[in-house]
Amino acid sequence: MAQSRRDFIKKAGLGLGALTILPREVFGKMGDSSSKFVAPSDQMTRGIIGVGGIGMSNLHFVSDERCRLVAVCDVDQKHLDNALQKGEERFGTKLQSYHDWRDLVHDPNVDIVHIATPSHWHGLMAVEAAKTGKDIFCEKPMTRTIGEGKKVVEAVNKYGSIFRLDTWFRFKDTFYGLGTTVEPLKKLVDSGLLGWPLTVRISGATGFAWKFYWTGRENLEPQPVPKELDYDLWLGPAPVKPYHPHRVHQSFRGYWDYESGGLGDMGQHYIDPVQYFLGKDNDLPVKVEVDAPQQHPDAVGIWRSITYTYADGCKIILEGEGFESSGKVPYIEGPKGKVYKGFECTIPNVMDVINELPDPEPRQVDFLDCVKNRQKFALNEENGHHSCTVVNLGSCALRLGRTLHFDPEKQLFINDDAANLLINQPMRGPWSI
Amino acid sequence: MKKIYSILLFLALSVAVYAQDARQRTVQTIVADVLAAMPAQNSSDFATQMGDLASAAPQSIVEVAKLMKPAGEGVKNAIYEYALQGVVSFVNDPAHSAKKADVLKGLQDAAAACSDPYNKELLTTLQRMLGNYVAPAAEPEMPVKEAQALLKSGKTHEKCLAALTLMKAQPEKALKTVASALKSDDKIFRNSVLGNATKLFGAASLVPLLTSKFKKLAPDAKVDVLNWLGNNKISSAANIVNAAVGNGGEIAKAAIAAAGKIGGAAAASTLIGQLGGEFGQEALTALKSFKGDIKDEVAAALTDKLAAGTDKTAITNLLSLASARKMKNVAPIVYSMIGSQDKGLAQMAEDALSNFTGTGDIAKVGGLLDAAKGATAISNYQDALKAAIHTLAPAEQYSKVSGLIKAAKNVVNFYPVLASTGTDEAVADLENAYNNGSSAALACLTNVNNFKAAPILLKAAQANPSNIAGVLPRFISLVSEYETNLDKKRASLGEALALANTKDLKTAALGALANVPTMKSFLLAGKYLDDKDAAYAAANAVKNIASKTKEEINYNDFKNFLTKAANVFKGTGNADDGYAVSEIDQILDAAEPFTPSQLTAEEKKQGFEMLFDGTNLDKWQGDLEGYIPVNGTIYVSANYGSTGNLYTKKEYRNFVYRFEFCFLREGVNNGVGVRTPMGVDAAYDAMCEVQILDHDAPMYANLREYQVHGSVYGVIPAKRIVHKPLGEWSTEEIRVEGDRIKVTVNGEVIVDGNIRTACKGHNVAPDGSDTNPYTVDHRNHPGMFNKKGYISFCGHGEGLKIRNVRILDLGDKK
Repeated sequence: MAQSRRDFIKKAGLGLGALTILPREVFGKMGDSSSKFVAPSDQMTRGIIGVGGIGMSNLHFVSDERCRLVAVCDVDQKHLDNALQKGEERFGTKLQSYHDWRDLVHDPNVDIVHIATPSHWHGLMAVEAAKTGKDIFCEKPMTRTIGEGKKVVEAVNKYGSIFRLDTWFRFKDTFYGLGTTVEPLKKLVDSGLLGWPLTVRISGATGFAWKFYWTGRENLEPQPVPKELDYDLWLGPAPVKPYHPHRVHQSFRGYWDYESGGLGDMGQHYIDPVQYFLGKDNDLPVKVEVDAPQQHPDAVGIWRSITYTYADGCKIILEGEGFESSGKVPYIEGPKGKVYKGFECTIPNVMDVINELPDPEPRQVDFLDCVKNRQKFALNEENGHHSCTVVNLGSCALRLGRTLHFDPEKQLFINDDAANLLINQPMRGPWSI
Repeated sequence: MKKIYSILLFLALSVAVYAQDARQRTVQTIVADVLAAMPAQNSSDFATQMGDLASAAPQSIVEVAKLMKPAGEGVKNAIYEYALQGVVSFVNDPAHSAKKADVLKGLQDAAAACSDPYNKELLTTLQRMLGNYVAPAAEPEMPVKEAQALLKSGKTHEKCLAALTLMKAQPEKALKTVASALKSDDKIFRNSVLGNATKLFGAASLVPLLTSKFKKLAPDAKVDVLNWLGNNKISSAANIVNAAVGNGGEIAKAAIAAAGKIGGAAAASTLIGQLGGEFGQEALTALKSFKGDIKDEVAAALTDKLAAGTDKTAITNLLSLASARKMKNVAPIVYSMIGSQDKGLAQMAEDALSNFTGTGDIAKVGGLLDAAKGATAISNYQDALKAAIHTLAPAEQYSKVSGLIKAAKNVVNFYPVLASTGTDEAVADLENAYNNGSSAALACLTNVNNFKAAPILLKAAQANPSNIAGVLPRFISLVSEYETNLDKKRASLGEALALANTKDLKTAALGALANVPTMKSFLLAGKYLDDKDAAYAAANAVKNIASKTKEEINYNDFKNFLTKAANVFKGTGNADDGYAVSEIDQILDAAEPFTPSQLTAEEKKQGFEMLFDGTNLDKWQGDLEGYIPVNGTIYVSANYGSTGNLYTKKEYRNFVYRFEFCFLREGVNNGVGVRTPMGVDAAYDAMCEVQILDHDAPMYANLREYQVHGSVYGVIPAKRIVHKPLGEWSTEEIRVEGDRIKVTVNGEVIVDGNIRTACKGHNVAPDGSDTNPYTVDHRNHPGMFNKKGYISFCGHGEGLKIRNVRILDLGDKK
């Protein structure tokens, strides 16, 4: 049996001598032996579960000297065949392919499990990957339910995994309507110049448009399952519903069984940096209100607004389809100042003030370094679970069509059985988390 | 959006009906009323509907469930699903729990009677939603003995679990577990135990152990502990951390990062001391985020290092740090460096100068800029001058810069600073300079943040193709940012597209066009779907416009362009473009084709001719921009506000003219010109204008009787009708024979008169004056006795739809 990255790390502590006795075939199994030799202590391996959309994107379907892509998994044979062919073309490597994700998770050649499936699988897969001692790279949203998120945090802590959630505006790139990274905003908020509490409006008018084409369709007519697709394994823990192509692959987000539409798609991108700059990485709202047409039990619909309130009075307001805003909409509004799209601010020459302040505390933003040094990634299971919970609080309130009150400490709704049933939703057997 | 509106309308109607018979309905009636209102559009409607449904439970629930058909082709169960899910949510609200038991019973009865597996599944799921929440059982903890064994012989992740289990089970021994983990050579295990112990017992409880054992730890474990001390900001360990900075290697790196996080005066001086060392970059990063005021220490260190003159790395990093944190106290040092004999130091200072300049430096920096030689120096002093003026109001900025320019020898050096003021005056000065042959001025016009620069840039691009690459991107971005009138924006981007001669330029223009959600911009973008260079950007544009526009787009164009766009997206093989294809599918699913209008059998027999059946305006001329065939109607669109006229291609003498019309907004004003020449005001210069007007709008409260809908404008008042609601169609017939005119709306004759008798033969004032006592509007109507002419629609703005226009030409016969 080949050795995994985690054993390398363990042995690395013994000094260089330990490395020289590793069998040569260990490297050979990791990829093309003709490419440049890389010291094994610097090389990791990765397997992707789900090679349809995001798993095949140029961002993720990559393989390099620091981290080799060694395995792919999909329940759609067409996706899998495509990934194998592209792997051959791009990396000159025959990737190990799996139909059942459990086989990839248990593959000893895989150090990092990259979860790129629809989100109803994320929690289950992340927990299982942690249990087998893997590190985890997970696409957003982190989990479909709050309960699954808690389980991921637990498992990662129990088994010592490093977890990265894949959205990044809290630490790099231009943050949508802001026109800058989120850092200057963090400095401004921390400086107290805007006052407290703050209200953040995430809407088209502030540069954060919601994608409402991720709605589901009602009255889907059952269709025959294509022969290349293992629909049962695609559904996994989700309830069995008659197959329709709109349920799966690129439009799955439109169904509550698998995600929560535009909110699930963009919510964590937009909300995670807000949790960061509000300093709420360990906090959650106590109340969520929705203004939306009644939701269908299966198909995700549109919503006009979702309002989150924290115990200290801070608010995040998501303004969606048909929301009527009047006048110029501030992205952040505090008692002493407002920030609009493009970082326009009511405080004169605000950038001069910000520039004189110290930068926010440095964070670990290289995932592979984190794996090597066993440090938490900037967006990890803890803060990722918190921002994903904000997203999921919204979907619970939408599905129930009413205001919900939440206890951030217990991570449960207060005296509300119906809402709490959405926190830990039953899984279809044999799956359980 | 359209869908929502129609549902809302329907809802409003059904609520109104419901209000009349509130308390006397049978269960079936209640169910029918609730279903008709599904899905509820807001919470109060929801509460009303669901309150009714719950009040009639369990029977109402059984009734709704009975209506669900087994899943299959054409089966539409959505409204029943909305109702059942809704009522479950409603009684789940603690405020409405009184009916919870009845709803549950209804669901149970319904499930028992249901044979379709999927519907049964829904009914069962809904029952579960009514159940009590039971927290998931905690996983049983591993027995201590098992954990102890695993800790010895397990794989890394199993040892992590074992250690956690033991620390939870035996907290009194937890520090021992941590201590032994620190001795382990397994980095994963060490960090896992450290992290979990911190979560369980708090960082403070670990500090004594970690600080006392630190010295004896292996280097790799020291790194972990230093990381931990920094992350938990253990200020009592500052001495250990600061001392470890001197260790070198990975330990030093970790110690520097930790010292930065922990802070304190000692850390500041330690880190500043490292700026010239092997880990200068790490120290710089730590100091950029260092909490507290360190500017005096930085200035002092910089002065020292400059005096010694040996440690260039330290000077570079100190200057970077002072620049990053805009330490104004360092400015005098920077000016002194600029004058230094040491070229390297002088260059370093010149590069950094813009970080330190303020309004007090304007004259000094202006002098340096005027005297500057070489592109780097000029650009550095330009930046420094921009920074010096940037806190002033724009007008003041302009006056300062133009003052400097008047005294300057190298005026061109100041153009970019002039541009940075963004003022109208700056644009005018730069335009003058460009007209006098300065290409530098044109380049600066591309940087000025002022929409007035746009026409100058467009003219420059049109005048000389060699300017296109330089100025067109900025023209596009200015239009995109500043033009608020959507049609002007579309037209400007159209001009840009006409000039665009590279893929990048086409992509930029189409990218901007994608945010102009009008029908015309859809059609413009669609033209580029066949252009290889532009197809992808055009596909994005038509998709975005189609998803955002509230205007109607001709179905055939809509379908044709979106289908082409989908093919472009499919062709890329990029997985992300699959989302775009799915979006287009949804947009096309929601769009509906129209059926062309047809003559009735009787009209055919009589010899009517179709003038507009919905597909094209081939039989029309005139303002074909303002009147556009869209999905079966002639549409005067909201965004172009056309005031032009649409004319038949043929002229007519006597005829029967039939059409249908509807108003899309209140107060629509248009008219039918009869026997009109082209390009005149039909109310006076044609035989007449038959008024089309939403006279019910409040704005027309003081309307004259000869202005109401159907009136022969100013000549024969019509009987006042009440118009149908907005969006509903009316029919109209205008029969013209000799001097007789008859107008029929929705089957009711509202004008039947003779124009010659109406004005007693005096279409114009007999005395040649402007006031004609014989017409009701006292105006002259010189065209009234025209024998023939075109038939026209005389536009006065947006909001009218016309369809099914046909004519019976009666020729000369009376």
